[in-house]
Amino acid sequence: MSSMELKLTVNGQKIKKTTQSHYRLLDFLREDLDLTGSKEGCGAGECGTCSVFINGKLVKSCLVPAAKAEGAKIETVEGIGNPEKMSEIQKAFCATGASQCGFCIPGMVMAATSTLRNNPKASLEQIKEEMGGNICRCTGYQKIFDAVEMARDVINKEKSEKVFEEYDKPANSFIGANVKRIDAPSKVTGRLKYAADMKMPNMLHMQVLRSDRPHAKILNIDLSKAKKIEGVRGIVTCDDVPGIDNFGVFIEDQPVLAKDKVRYVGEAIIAVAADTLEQAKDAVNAIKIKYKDLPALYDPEEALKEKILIHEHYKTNLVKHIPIRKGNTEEAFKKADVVIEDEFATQPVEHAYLEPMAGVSYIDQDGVLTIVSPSQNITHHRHMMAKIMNLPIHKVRFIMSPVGGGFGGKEDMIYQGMLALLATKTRQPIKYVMTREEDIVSTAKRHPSRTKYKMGLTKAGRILAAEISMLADGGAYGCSTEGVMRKAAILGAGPYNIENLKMDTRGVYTNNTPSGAFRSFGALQTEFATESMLDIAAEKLNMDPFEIRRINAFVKGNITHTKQELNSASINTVLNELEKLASWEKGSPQSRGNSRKDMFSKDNRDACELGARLKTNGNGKRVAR
Amino acid sequence: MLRYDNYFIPKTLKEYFELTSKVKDCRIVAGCTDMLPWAREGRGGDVFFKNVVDVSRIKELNVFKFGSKKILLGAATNYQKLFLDKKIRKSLKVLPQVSVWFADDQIRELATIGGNIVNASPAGDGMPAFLTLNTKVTVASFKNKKIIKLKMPLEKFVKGRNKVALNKNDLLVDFEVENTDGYGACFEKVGHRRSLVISTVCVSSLVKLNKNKFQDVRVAVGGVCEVPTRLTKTENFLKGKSIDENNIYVASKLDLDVIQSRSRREYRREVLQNFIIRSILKSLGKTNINETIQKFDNKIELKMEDAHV
Ligand SMILES: Cc1cc2nc3c(=O)[nH]c(=O)nc-3n(C[C@H](O)[C@H](O)[C@H](O)COP(=O)(O)OP(=O)(O)OC[C@H]3O[C@@H](n4cnc5c(N)ncnc54)[C@H](O)[C@@H]3O)c2cc1C
Ligand code: FES
Ligand code: FES
Repeated sequence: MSSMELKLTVNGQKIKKTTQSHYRLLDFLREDLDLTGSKEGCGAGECGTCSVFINGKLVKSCLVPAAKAEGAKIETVEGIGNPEKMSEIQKAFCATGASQCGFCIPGMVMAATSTLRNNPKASLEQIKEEMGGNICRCTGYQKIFDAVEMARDVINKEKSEKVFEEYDKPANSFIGANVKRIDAPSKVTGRLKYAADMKMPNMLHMQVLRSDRPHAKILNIDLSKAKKIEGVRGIVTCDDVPGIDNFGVFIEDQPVLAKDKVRYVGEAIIAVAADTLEQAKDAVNAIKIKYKDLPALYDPEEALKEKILIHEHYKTNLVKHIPIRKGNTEEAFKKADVVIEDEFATQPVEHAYLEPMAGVSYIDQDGVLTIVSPSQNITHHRHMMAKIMNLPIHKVRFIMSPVGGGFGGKEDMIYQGMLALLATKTRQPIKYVMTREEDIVSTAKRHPSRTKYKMGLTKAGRILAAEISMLADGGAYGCSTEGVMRKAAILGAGPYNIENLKMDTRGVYTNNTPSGAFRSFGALQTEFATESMLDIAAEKLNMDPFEIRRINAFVKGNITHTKQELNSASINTVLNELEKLASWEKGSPQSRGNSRKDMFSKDNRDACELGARLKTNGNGKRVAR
Repeated sequence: MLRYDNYFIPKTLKEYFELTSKVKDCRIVAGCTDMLPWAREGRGGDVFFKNVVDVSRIKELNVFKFGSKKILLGAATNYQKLFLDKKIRKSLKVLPQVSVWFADDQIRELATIGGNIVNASPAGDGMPAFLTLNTKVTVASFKNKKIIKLKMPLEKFVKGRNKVALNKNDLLVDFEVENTDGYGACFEKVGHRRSLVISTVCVSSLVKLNKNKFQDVRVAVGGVCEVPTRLTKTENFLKGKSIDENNIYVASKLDLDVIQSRSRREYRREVLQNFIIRSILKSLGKTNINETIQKFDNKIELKMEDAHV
């Protein structure tokens, strides 16, 4: 690899350093200067976690070759302030609670700084526009915009610095109170170390060879070329696993590295550790695998036919079926005034936490295998790891690094096993950071689902019976499918008192990307169907959508289909509150749309213009043509 | 991952050609906003070039010559300059409008017009706008130790999806565009996310009036065909006609067959037609012209004070 000498100024300091010729400015800052406040959320210019100033202009440093910065003045988040001496913007971010997971926050602080430097009086719209290149997955942006407006007002002396310290002193409860987050200063100044920011002496870099086949037998692996590559210190396959090789949140069915066959595109097969990331990449690219493709399953309906088996030894593709029965639906349908039947489908969804998966492993001075990673489930991981590595539990330690967003996506132990194998094999610390692309192909998604629904109601809108049957695509491995099916069955009928209910949720194996935990954990898919059914029913019965929900809502004392007696129920309070907040116009759904009286009012946005033809009428209002 | 052994930054055309005639295996970059995202999994993958030549600081690629008829823009001009420059905002109104829709401030700071055109993506936003400006580009090549410059219409330069009229080491030097002061202009696009690359449909239009008649109409579309293209039937139909919604409606239907995209054709036809109508209407200033830009005028005005013109 060739190197170059780079001279530039970073945060006011003159720097002269030899670096890799191909480094991007982001690599140079993080690897050579240890300025890890600039993060790599995507490496492709989309997210803004890497934003820095070059000669006063904000750019995304993942798109700037380091060589381009020769002679330039660079300013990173570390130059904006430190936890003891924060800028107004950083203080405001702390005050409004704008940093949640914090991974986007250094970039956000940079974008806010740029915005207010360019235009100290920026309006909210201008702030939104100029910060448009930075993504946050946690906050929904509101608190970030609040912070920038607060900082602007302080900078312009329209507000006193005191606003930064206006926290609540919660008397009885923290709920609803604005309390000081103790980790905020470390996040807004870029000082908090996420897993990818960590470095250890003699640390090696791990890269992974992944399957490009959905379903295939592994006939042969040729490592000869890869082993010869300079700097390669260890290569592991499933044969290196000393203990019982499986993991999973509910069912332990997934090997650390594919064994005999691959079950989805993106499945890990071989992991390599080398002195540098580049060498590890070269080694992975030099590995040759011979496959025999197997017929693959992509459709959960097909999976139920069991013609192709994903996990042969289970003799079925069914991961979990949760059947729940209450009352007698058949009898109840006979009494119903209307019976509605429909089908609903939802798609897989990526968590897109801004911090891609990353971890560091090492064997400590006492021989304890240690894994540092943003895992959302370290205790369970520790137990599984002890079994996989055939170690007593006290020889395994998990340290949870700050989680740069998880949303359920970091519950699966999908890379920690490889880190453990390589740390054990090489006795050197190992670091692994997924690229955004790798993270998207290999990690679990929200379960795609199909729900068949039958609902019987009286003319007055009371639900007499419902039959709900959901089929979910669990993908190649069990992950959280069992739990998700349970939650879907428990919550899917919504907060409604339904006397006669037949509920079935099934999760099956296919050769698709595994499905796993994701915020709401199964409730979303079935509840989406239930709520849609209620809207359809409201239309059929000419009723107000809120009203039909109120008629059926749980109240204190009801017994759910899982035989839980409710000693409180808040759905009616929530509905009333929502109705108020939405400025809801009462009436059946048929009275909505263009004829709605509240369209184009002051508080409402214009109707979507994309592709729609709107014109401006005499009063300056935008109306449909 | 993009890897290379050497990164050169020549400062003049002469320096550039001397370098590339000596050093073998040179790969050109400018803002790198297409190149770096391309060299990743699922697209180019791990890519190695022996030598990379950054052309963004070549003097001749940074020209800005302003004339009452023609304006010369260097190929290394970035989209943020098109967004902020006062003269451009007056005489080449359509360009700041492209910029509003183009990525975000940070990408625009790097992304060059040359890179955008050479990349020749069917969804690139620059080309439709430059087509409506009757752009002629200059290509420089090196023969017998001499720099040879060739001027050609943009339509000739872009030959197809990712295909342009450049031989190895040739350089796109500048864009000669027509000063369209006095024209109404509009650029709009539909994409998934504002600061994301892909346009599903984009339309650029320029309109000049003579009393209550269309004197000149120029409309170009992108995103729906291999190479962005002018809608000549629509334009010719309207020229000389009176300004009336019915004329615009009839004209909007004449070129819909330019749509080549296989997916969602009906949707694209409908969107495209609506877009053409709207674009012309907006150019006419019938509805609030430059709506998007007006919203940010404050920012632009403030920024323009320190932006060099
Ligand atoms: C987040 C993001 C958002 C984006 N949004 C948009 C968008 O909204 N609309 C849009 O159209 N594009 C968009 N792009 C794409 C890209 O920014 C543009 O195409 C940009 O103009 C490319 O210019 P560049 O200088 O960065 O090109 P580079 O990546 O440097 O080069 C691109 C290609 O052109 C060649 N090249 C560059 N300059 C010359 C020259 N002078 N002579 C000969 N060859 C040359 C290079 O060899 C290379 O093959 C986006 C990109 C990103 C990362
Ligand atoms: S924009 Fe640079 S890492 Fe995402
Ligand atoms: S706080 Fe913004 S991504 Fe988590």
